[in-house]
Amino acid sequence: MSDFAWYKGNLHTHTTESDGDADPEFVVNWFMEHGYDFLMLSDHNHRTILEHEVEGGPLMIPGEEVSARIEFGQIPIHINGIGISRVVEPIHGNDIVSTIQANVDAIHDANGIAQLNHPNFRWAFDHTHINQVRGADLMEVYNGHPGVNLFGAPGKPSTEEIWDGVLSAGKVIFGTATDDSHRYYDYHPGMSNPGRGWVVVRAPELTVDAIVDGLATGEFYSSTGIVLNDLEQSEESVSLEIKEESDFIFTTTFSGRDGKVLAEETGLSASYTIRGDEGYVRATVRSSSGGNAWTQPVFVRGD
Amino acid sequence: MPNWYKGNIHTHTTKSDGDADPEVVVKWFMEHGYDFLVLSDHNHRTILEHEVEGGPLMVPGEEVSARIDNGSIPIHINGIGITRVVEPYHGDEIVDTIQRNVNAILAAGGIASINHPNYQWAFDHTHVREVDGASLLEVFNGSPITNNEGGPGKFTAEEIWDGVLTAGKPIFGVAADDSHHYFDFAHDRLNPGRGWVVVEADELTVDAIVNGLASGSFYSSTGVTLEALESTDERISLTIEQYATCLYRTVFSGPDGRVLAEREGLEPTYEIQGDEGFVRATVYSSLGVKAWTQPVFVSEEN
Repeated sequence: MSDFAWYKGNLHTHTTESDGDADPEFVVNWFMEHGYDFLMLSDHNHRTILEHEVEGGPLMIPGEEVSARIEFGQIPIHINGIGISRVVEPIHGNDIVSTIQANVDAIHDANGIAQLNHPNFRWAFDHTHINQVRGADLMEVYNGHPGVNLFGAPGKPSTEEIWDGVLSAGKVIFGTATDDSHRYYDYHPGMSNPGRGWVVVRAPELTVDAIVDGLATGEFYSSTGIVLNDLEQSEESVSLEIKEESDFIFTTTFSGRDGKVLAEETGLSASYTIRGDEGYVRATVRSSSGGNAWTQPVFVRGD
Repeated sequence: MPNWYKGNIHTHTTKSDGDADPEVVVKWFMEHGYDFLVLSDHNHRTILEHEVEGGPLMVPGEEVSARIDNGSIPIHINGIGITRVVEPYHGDEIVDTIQRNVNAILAAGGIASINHPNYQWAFDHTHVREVDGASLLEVFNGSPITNNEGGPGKFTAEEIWDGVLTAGKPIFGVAADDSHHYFDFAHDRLNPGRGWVVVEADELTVDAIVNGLASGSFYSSTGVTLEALESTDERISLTIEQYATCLYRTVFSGPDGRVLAEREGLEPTYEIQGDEGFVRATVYSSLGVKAWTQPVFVSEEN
C-alpha cells in the first residue's frame, strides 16, 4: 500500500446552478483554500461542470444530486450520482423503495455510483426501506445541513442507527460524511455552510477513477474533524492510528451487528481482533472536543 | 411584561487575540439577531469607541485570564457588568486563584462566569464547588479546543456543572461562543454563533440583563428556542418553538445527573416531588442542538 495516499474531499456541494448562493468557481475556491484534494459539485438535477478550471484547485468529480419527490412532494428522495458521465433525470415514483431503486439504477446507467442522502430530512425514509434497495453504494451517516435530523428522536432512528440497520441486514453500504453546503457568504451554525463533514479516500492516485473506485470499495473514512494517520482493515482485525491534536482525548468504539459495542479504547491507537461472529465490525472515533471519524465496516464471514 | 433577550457573553476582538476589531464583531452579532453582547477580551475591558447604530446592548466585560503552574493551568473567568478593568491574580493553587479572581470581579461591580473548565483540562467540579460567589459556569463553549465532551477519566462540561450543583452550590449554566475568528469560518475555527443565553428581563438594560443572569432567569442554547419557560418550586414547564420538522426530547434531571423524567413533544412538564435536591431540564433536538434551563433547588421542608 506504500504507493497509496489519503485524499480529502466533499461529496455534497451546491452552487448557483441549483439552490446554492455562490457560483461554482467561488465554491471551488473555498474548498481549495481549506485544503481539499477533490470536490464533487452536486446540484439538484444538474451536472455542474466548471467553465474554467480553477488553478491549483481540487480534482473535480462530476456529480449531481438526483432529487425526486413522491407523495406530492412530501417525501424527498435525494441520491447523489458520483462520477456520472451525463446528467441523470430524476424519476418521481409512487413509493419510497421503488423510487430509490429507479434513481439508483439510473445513476448506475450513467456510470456513476449512488449515495443515499440525508434519510432523516423530513423523516423521508430509513433502513427498512434501504434494506430493500439493490446496488446503492453509499449513504450519508453525517450531513452538515442543519435541518436533516441526524440525531433522530424517540421513535425515529439516528442516521447512524439507520446505517447500522442496513449493515445488520447484511447489506454492504458505506457511510459518508458530507457538507450539503448551500451558503458561502453568511456563516452561522443555523446555515448550511461548507467544511463540516468530509471523506478521506485512500487511492493510488488523485484521478476521478481512483477516487470513485476508492469510494465504491469502502477504501475511505468519514470525518467531522478527526484525522487518521493510518487505518488497516482485514478479515482478522481493524486497527487505526489517530493524529494527535491539542490535548484532545480520543475514544474509539468498535461496534457490530445492531450497533452492539464490541470494544472501546482510549488513546491515539486502537485495534480490534475479529472473532468471527460479529456480523460486521466498524470503528467510530470520538474526540473530547467534539468531532467524529467513522471507518467502513468489515464484513465477517461466520462459519 | 418580561421579554426574552438573546446574547453572547464570551467574545474576543483585536483588543486581545480575536481577529476582528470590536466594531466588526458587534456588527456580526447585530446582523445575526442578538439583543445584547459582552465583549470579553483577555484582561482588557473593551468599550466601543463609536456606538454601532442599531447594534445590540453592550454589557461591559472582560475575560480575566490568570495562569498558574508556569502557565499550564489556565484560569479564565468572565467579569460581566464590571465598572472597571480587573487585573488577573496569578496564584499557585487552583481554588485559591479562582476565588481571588471571582472576588476581584465582584469588587469591580460585576458577576463572575467560570469559563471552559476542560480547556487544557484545567479544573473540574471538585474545585468549582469550593469557590464562593461565582454566578455562572460554561456548560457549553463554542471553541473547538475546549474539550466540552470530556473523555474517559475526565468529565464533560455538563457533568462538571452537575457536580457543582450536586454539592448544593447554586451556579447557573451558560452557553457561549468564545469566538475569536470572524473572517474564515470552518469547523476548526473559533467562530461566533455557536452558543448563547436568552435572558428573561423587564427591559433591555445592562442592569436588567446582569440581574437576569445572576438570578438564573435565563436559558442557554446551541439552537433550540423556547417560547415559554416556567420554573417554580412545584413545576418546571417549557414550550419549545417548532423548527422545521424537528422532534424534541426533554430530560429532567437531578443530582449526579440522575434522570427524573423524559418527555417528548413541544410542551414538556415536570411536577417537582420535593426530594430531588434540584431539577433542571435539557432539551435535545433531532438536529443535535440543545437548550439547558437553570436548576430549581428543592428543599426537603417544602
